[in-house]
Amino acid sequence: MVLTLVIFVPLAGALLLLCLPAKAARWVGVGTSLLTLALAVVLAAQFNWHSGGAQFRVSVPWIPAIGANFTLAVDGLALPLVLLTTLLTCVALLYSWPHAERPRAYFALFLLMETGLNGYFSTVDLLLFYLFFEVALVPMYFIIGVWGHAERRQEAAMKFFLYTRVGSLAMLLAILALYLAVQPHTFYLPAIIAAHPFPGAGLVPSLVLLGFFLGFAIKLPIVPLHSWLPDAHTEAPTAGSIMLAGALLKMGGYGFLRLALPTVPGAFHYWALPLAVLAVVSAIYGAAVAMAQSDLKRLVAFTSVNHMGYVLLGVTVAAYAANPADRTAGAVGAMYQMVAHGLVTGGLFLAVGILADRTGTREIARLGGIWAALPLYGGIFTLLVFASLGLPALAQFAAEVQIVLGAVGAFPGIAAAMLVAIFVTTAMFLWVLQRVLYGAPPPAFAHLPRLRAYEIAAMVPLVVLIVLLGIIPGPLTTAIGGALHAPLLGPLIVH
Amino acid sequence: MSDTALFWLIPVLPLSAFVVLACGLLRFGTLAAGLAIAALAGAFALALAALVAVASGARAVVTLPWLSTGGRTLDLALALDPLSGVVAALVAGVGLVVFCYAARYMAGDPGYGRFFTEMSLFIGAMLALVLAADLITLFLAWEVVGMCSYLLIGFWHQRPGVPAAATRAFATTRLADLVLLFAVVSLTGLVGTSRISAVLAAATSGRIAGGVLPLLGVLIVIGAAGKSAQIPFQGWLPDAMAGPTPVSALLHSATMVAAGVFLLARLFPLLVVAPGALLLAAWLGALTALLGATVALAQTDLKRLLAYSTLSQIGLMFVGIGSGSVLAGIGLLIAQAIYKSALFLAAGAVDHAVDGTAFDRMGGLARRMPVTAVVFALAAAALAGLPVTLALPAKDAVLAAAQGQPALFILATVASLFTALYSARAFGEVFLGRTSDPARQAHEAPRGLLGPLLVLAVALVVVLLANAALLGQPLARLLLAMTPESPAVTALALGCAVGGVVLGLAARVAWPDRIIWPVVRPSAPVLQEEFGFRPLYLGLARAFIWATGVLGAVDRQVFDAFAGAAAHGVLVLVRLAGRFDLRGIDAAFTGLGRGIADGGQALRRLQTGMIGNELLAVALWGLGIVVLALIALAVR
Repeated sequence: MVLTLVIFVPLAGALLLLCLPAKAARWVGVGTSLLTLALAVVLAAQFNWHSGGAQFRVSVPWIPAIGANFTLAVDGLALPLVLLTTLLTCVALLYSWPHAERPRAYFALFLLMETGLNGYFSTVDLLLFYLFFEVALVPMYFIIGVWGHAERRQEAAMKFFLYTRVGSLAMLLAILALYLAVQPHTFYLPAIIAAHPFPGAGLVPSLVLLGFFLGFAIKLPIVPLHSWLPDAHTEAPTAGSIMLAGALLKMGGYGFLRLALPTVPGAFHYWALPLAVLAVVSAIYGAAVAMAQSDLKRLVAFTSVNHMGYVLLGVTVAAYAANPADRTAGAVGAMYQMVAHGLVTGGLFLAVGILADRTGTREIARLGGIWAALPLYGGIFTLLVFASLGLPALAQFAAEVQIVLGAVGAFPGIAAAMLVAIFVTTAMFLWVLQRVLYGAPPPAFAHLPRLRAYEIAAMVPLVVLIVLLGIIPGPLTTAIGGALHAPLLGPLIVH
Repeated sequence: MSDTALFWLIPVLPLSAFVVLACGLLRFGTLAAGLAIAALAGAFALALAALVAVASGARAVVTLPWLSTGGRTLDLALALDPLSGVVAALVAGVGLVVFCYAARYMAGDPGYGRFFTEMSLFIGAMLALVLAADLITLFLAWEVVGMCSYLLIGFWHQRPGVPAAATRAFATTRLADLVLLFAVVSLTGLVGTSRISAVLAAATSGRIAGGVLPLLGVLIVIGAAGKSAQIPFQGWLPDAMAGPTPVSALLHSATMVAAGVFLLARLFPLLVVAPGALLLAAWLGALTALLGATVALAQTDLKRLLAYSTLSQIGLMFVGIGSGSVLAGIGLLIAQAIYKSALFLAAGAVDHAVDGTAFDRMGGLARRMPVTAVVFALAAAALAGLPVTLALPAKDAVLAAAQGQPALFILATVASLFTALYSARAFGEVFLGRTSDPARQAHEAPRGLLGPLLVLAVALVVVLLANAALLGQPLARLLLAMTPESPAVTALALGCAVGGVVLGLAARVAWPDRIIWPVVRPSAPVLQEEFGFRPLYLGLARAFIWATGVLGAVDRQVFDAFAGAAAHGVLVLVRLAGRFDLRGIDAAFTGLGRGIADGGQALRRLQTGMIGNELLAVALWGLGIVVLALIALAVR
């Protein structure tokens, strides 16, 4: 029941927004997101973290003619991402409080997207999976296209839409192939996994994998399918970027683990090595191209290409490694990286937005001396950057060390290449700190307004969680590991 | 309660001080300094108690689970043993002196509280590194130490040149850190745990397959070389002078650069069974020792001279451990920590007095700053290897260890000779000879600075006495290792020291223009560029940035252009196809709301917003999916 509420309360809030006057929009929007977060926390409190398997199962017959059920359930893979989504929605909407023009539609779209994301992460019915994928996609198109920054926002929105559409259609074809391959036809994921329709690595399984790969690699994104991302971020409003990088990209990594890995394990194993190479190439490429950016927001956008490369690497380790310990480390690391990256990069986009609000620019060349101008902001920004470059005792290190740990066992050369990627990220971010934070502030920045309460309120939960997940990685790792032991993925990962 | 029950508090006290300060207390400067010093003093007291307990045979381990993934455990674990006990006491002691000095030295700085916050994390992480019983604990602390040195080197980041120095230092050390991470993770994967004792046991018992171990040993040495600024990573350390002097005093003595040497000592049993690794360490050390000592000769700035001196001294430690003697390396580490921090603190006092660290602002300061001069002289004598301190036996041990390999031995001996030479020269340039104009105004450092200096001077003397009384035995007993006695080597080390000092002083006082300088001066440009290392690295960094620029251009020209053309094409198509005229999403949503009320005719009349047909097309499609799904659910 709570799970159903977590998914549909935002939708109800969105509908409510449309019926109320614009003056109430902010209260209703932020209130709904807070209520949803509270519900998600209740869900997490009731969740049995030690078992980690699918819980809170809800199943209602939906379209019986084609065997589609409205089935929801969350496990240790899904729940962290649901929590991440609900938290980031709160953060994004809180930050939007004074910024949102045409607030009713704005808040409604964010809430609709939250419904799509929460639904996507908590369904085990493939048709519903596809449906929620699209529901999460469409609002982002409008957020970029309508509330975006510059003249090119429509083109950016269309790029985003086209790429993701191509991906979702490829995914739909793969889903239909699974549906047709199982007798009786069903969209119920556990039944499909149990039937094991595509054991080998022949043409058809490889094509199904290709379908999933297009869907999820575009979403992550992986080079060379990434070109929608920098533009989408450059043009999107700050809150949109927080959701896009923090939550929407995770649909790709989650899809790989939830769908692709268990349904076509043979093909995934067969193609894992080239995919792992692609993953590290993507990681290095993302960091290097980030270094070349002159727009701070675009730079942060490219770091997502870098960090999501590690996620794909972790997934390929889970598909490839001979040693179950390495497979577990890869899969857990990939999941942990998604949660950590959501917090860190969400925080970074928030920080860039806060800075741009004050200085009126995101051009690195025109920034400088920010630490001296805004001491508290400088401290937070430095912490986020350190987290993003994988410094220990902060969230992403715990993820990256697990991915490397798995990768060393499976393909040591690629693990070494991942460390090269981390180094390029380090150099890139240090150069950013040097140019943006350090130095004496120009006269124009001497009296920048200090951080406001709503900005600090949006930032604090992210910072606290980044530090906590870095220092105490045990609980979340255990929960994810529990999901990997459960019937859905267990046979693949653990045994 | 035994003396070891609370040893885990040694790093935890300064780290707690950091947490408290970082949560806002750093705004109150004096309070911040007091808290930081009190926490470190507590840690030092505990470390001394632990050291006494260790000397009588006590051992202790504390473990906190950190991460368990796929059946492999990575823990937060601290262990008290002879090596960690000795070095922890050293780190806390030197740190405490430097903190007290900084309380006066940094007075009036707007970042006073932030300074002590970052310093507390720095020293706490170093103590954790030293006491670590688990590779992942060690690596966590290792990285935090690097991060703090980055923040502290860049402390005065509004000054020109400082941000670049901080970036260079962190980028260089992190490159080596990641090499070390690969080794740490590989060992964890192979052994199933990152517990150091288990890893060492697996390595020495041959449970790790033969081919891998030499490679991992080499990676560990590379990681250590990065932290300790050995070739090819040496460039960052002289630039790190950009930080405040107390930072330099800590960074060059017991923290940061000492970490690499400590790592070699800690993982020595593994390196012994990976012989190529030890040889590599010895050679990197010997080359760096010679490079540092040679470049130090040509420096015209006191702090830069001391920085190159550190390179050289750490190099000798690498030679010692690389030649198989942990005692030699750690012995020199302890001695260096004391005399190098004393030299830096004295340099800070001089800096305060003459407002600069270039030699041409100094000269003849002995009469104006007698106490500083005496402390500097004592520390410089120790650096030179004169038989007044622990340093001679330590250097003696390094040379003795290197005896077996003539090339290494010769390099180390020449480095020792040069060390004596530049030590004497530094003292001469600052305190003897003609007084420069800025030095005329100088007067003795304030008490707040002199106190810590004197403590270090006393420490040097005490160590000397203890050493004389027990002939280096306490250290040897603590480290459970012995160095071969060799009168010939001792004589050679002593000869180098005395000869170098006499020559250096003579060159400064008696014949300033006749010996040494005519040789050094013409080669100064080459030496200042570290024999071409500097331009090489600068070129590499530029090439790296250029390459990323090229990639960025490719990304724009190829991938972006393709995506842009596709998006543009669709936009054009949609505009062509969209004959019907509707006004966009806000209109659509407003319309939806009003439509519910007005029976659906309102949409067409609304004129707010001109977004475009394509938006509407997508909107209808998206809403359609939702509506269809809801209908399907409703009528099932």
